[in-house]
Amino acid sequence: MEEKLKYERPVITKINAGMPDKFGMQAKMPVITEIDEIPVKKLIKQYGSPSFIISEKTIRKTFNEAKRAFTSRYPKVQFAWSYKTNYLNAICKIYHSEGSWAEVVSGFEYDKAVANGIPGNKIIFNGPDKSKEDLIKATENGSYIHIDHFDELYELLSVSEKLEKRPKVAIRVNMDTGVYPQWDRFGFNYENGEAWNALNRIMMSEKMDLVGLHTHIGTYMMTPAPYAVAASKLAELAVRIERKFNHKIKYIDMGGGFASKNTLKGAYLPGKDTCPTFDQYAEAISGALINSDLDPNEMPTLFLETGRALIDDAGYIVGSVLANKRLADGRRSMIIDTGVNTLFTSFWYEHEIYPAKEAGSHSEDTTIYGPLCMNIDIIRSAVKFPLLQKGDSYVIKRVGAYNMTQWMQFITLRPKIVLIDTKGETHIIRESETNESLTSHEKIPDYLK
Amino acid sequence: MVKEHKIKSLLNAILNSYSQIFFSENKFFAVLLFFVTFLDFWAGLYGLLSVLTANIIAFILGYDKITIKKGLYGFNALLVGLGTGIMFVPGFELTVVVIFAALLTLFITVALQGILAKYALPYLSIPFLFGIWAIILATKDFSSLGLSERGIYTYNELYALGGKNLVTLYDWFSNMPVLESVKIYFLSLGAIFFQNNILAGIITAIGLLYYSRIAFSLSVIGFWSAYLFYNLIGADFSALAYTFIGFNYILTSIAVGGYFVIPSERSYLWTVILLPVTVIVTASLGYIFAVWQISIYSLPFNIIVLLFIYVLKLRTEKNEKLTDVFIRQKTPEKSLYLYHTGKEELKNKNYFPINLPFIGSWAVMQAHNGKYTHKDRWKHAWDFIIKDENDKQYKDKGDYCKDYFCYEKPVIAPAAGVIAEITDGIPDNKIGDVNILQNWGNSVVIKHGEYLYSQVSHLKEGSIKVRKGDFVRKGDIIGRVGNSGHSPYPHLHFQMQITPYVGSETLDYPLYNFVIKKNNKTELFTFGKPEENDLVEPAKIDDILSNAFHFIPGKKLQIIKNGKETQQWEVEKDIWNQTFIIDNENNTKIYFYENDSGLFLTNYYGDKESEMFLFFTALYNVRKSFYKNTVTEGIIRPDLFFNKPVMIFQDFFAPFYIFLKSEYKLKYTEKDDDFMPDFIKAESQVSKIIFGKIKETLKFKITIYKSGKTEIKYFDKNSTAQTIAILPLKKHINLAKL
Repeated sequence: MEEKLKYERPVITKINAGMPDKFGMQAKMPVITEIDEIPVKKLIKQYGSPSFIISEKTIRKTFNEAKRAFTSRYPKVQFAWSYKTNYLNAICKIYHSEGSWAEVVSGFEYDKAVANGIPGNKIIFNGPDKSKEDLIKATENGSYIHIDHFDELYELLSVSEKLEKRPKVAIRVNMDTGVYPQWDRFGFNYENGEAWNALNRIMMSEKMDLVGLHTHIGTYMMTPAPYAVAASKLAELAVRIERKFNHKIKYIDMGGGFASKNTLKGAYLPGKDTCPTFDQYAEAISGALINSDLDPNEMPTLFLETGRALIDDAGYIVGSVLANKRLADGRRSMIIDTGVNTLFTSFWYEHEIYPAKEAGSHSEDTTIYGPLCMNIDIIRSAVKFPLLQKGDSYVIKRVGAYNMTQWMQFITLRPKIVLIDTKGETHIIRESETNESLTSHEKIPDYLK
Repeated sequence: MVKEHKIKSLLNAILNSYSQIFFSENKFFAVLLFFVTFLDFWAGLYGLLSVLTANIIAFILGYDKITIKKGLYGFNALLVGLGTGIMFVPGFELTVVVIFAALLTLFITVALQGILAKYALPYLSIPFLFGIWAIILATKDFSSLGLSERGIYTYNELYALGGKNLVTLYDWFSNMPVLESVKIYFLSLGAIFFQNNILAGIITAIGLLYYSRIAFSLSVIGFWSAYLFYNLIGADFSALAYTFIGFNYILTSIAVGGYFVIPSERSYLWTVILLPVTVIVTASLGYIFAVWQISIYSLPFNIIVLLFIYVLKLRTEKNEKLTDVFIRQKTPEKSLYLYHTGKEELKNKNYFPINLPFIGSWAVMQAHNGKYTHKDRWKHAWDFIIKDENDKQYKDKGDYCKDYFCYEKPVIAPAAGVIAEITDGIPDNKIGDVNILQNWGNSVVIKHGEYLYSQVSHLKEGSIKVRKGDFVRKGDIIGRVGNSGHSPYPHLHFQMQITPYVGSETLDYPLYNFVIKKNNKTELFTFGKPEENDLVEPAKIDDILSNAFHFIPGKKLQIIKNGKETQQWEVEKDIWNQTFIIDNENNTKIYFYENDSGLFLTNYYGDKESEMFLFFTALYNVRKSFYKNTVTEGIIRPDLFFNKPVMIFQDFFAPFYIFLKSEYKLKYTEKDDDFMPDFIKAESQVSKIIFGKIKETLKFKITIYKSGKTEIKYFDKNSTAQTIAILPLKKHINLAKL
């Protein structure tokens, strides 16, 4: 039986032929009907609305693309999965199975990595918050401790006196790479000599092994050039350490910060057109290292802690439209069942949202709101969007990074996360929350019972 | 001390001058031969005098000590001395003549050595020929020298030597009902030392057998081949018994079949083929020389052997079945066994290391003799591309160059060299299009050595950052992969060649130190030629392994057996730049060579119960790259593992079939930490195989530590656990601690 033609309310729009806007002449919105060949409709039916969907195929494909970009340019490369970007155990294990180490920034993440079966000697411990217990644990497990500040260095020195094992350390270095704002709140500054101060103390103490140098120049870096500056500065530091102390650095950790293809708010052009590729980042970094004074026969290993660029593309949200509405100024608005509590990154990205089935060919400027009873719950403030009806499905692209770690339980409960494996099978990798999952942690004083 | 050393050297030189006649330096053989020459006392004495004279003069004039010690300057003089001594009546006059003859022979030896060295040919016994001919022709005028009748009246001599008993013994010997040809064989052998009696031949044969089974069997084969040919053409063979000529066939056979050529079926076949030729040459030369009334002595042997060696050297294609000996060993057997075990070594030493011209893992799209363009004169080339995990070489639809994974990837110098030729300025083709006019596209040719160039082609226009004449180090970036020239989609073309032009004819040359990954297995190549669809990447050199197995001359090693410090070893090298580890206390020695890819022990000398032999066995072939569970194999000389009786049996058949094998295997099993390891564990074993069946397997568990210490655990013959540790004695200066 032929499907009944869809009713579309008439819309009056100004004809604007001639000058294309920044998105060109395209008027018709593409649709995403399936993810990894599984119909969105089926996913929603099976797992509820909304749900996070993660494509394992995309994860592995993107990882290999990044790996290829670097390993075809630099002889020794090691990736470490940035836990904070997405620390769902299933996701971490996918990266570990591809050979990634773990990069953690707290005791909690550290324990998570250990529980995921990562041996201590494949964990990089970053961040400004490492407790004394954390430092002891990391030292004894042979993890790589990236010292962030002098107080941490002093604490580690005092800790190491009592331990049999010597801590394996690197220092995090911040520097001027020509970008604004300069990230100087983490690590020791390169230009003002703080980094040397820290290095001298470490080398003279003889209580720890200085094995690496670390930097993380920023986040969502839209140009690869600063990485070249940072890499050559670290290489220079490594060469000078060797000259001064006859000591070889085993690795240079360039951190992360590679942009994904999402579009930042306020950006003029879409991210997928402007953000550098892995090849461009790799070219900048490996080029700088190879052209440095480092001994070509004993090059340090290049560590990379990129998170966002590796997983963003693999994550989707599938959900349904709750209502349509005209605003006071005549603009159309649409309320969907994903809010900023779930899609945390919509605070800074103009997320791409698509209908999940063929919609009308007429788009209208639309504000897309989340379901929260909060004024700030806006997913897209203005987007050309075709009319969807209540109950119709949509797909939001590139939500793999940070959402599943930074999301909030607020007003609604957090939804399921579903993994589509490389064979096309689906697996729930995090159950949706229930009242019980929240109230189980609550306590009621006796007098209120 | 110095004097003692000199006397020892002279003694060596004299003894070796005797055995050198059979291309040997075997002392026992030498002593036997020495005794044989004294069967005719005066001949023996004049022989000795001649050897002494030649060697002493060689020492005084200051020729190469090692050559002297090997007897190479003495053996021709010895022959002249023997020949003269037997021919003339002993006396003061003869003594003087022999001394001058020795001097003359030595000079001819040295001069011929100089002349023939250019052609890499030996001088064999040509100096002897010139020497003896000069004396004989000259002595026609020397009236005070009387011709001797010895050698004709054998009984008189024997009586003088050993009384009636010896005469009886000799009689019994001579009248033994053996074949005539056997007698002539022994006579011919004896004739090498101008001894016309069977006893000399028998003793020489025993010595020859003791020295080398292959040489002995060749002497027999050579002799009877000639004998049969004589019979065939109806010549009188028994004449050989009186004319000191039969030995030509024996010596030719040993030289061609086993000394200058690796003994093999083919070398034996050639021996049989060449002997009739030798017979013909002998017969014809005999008539020519009869004019001057002199004997041709060993002239046929010299002509045929030199001719054959030279002819072999001029071959343009390698022939594994008939290979000339590259490094002369002490016996033909050793040459043969080392040839079989050391094929890999020879390769490694002959090839200049040419690494892969890229970083990371690439796929071979077209290999040697490819189906697209690698044909005929350009067949020895490779085309490389990058593939993803789904075997695709591009992303999206692959409509643009930039979609291809290999596009714009750095191309590096495969080895150090000088940029010889560059073409640039050819734009990238659209996908699917080819530029046939500028076939090679943008290319770089690097000169790595004389007649050794590498070429990379189809680079991206303007990406070549080197200039003609620039010196590049291994690994320097020279350009980027592009799609220029005859290239429908981006790929890297790589070839070796002997001329410096872009597009020269290709050279069949292997690549160095890489791995091929196939079905989760990693195979490690020191030198190899990847094939189509292979996934290749440069081998990663492991710090621990390359530190522990880096043996530079001067390095000292402390041996610790079961926790107790025992002897010390030292790494040394000789003037030929051959490196070896030596244990001066126990007089054991391991020859080895090493490169980035591994440490290869090539030969062992000394006691087989020693710790050094264990080291040799356990670490015969170690790689400097850690690939877990990847097995590397090797074959060790069988004579190091099988006992004498079996080996003697094997020696006879060795040119045709080696049924005794000692196979070596090593695999790395564990690394305590992938990134900063403290140790690496390995297992190695040597299987003793007889006729394809494993009779015994020696197993070793090896641990290599960051400090450079290597620990070998094994069970000895009594099944007791033993541990040997080898610890480098090297002082590290830590500037941080100063």
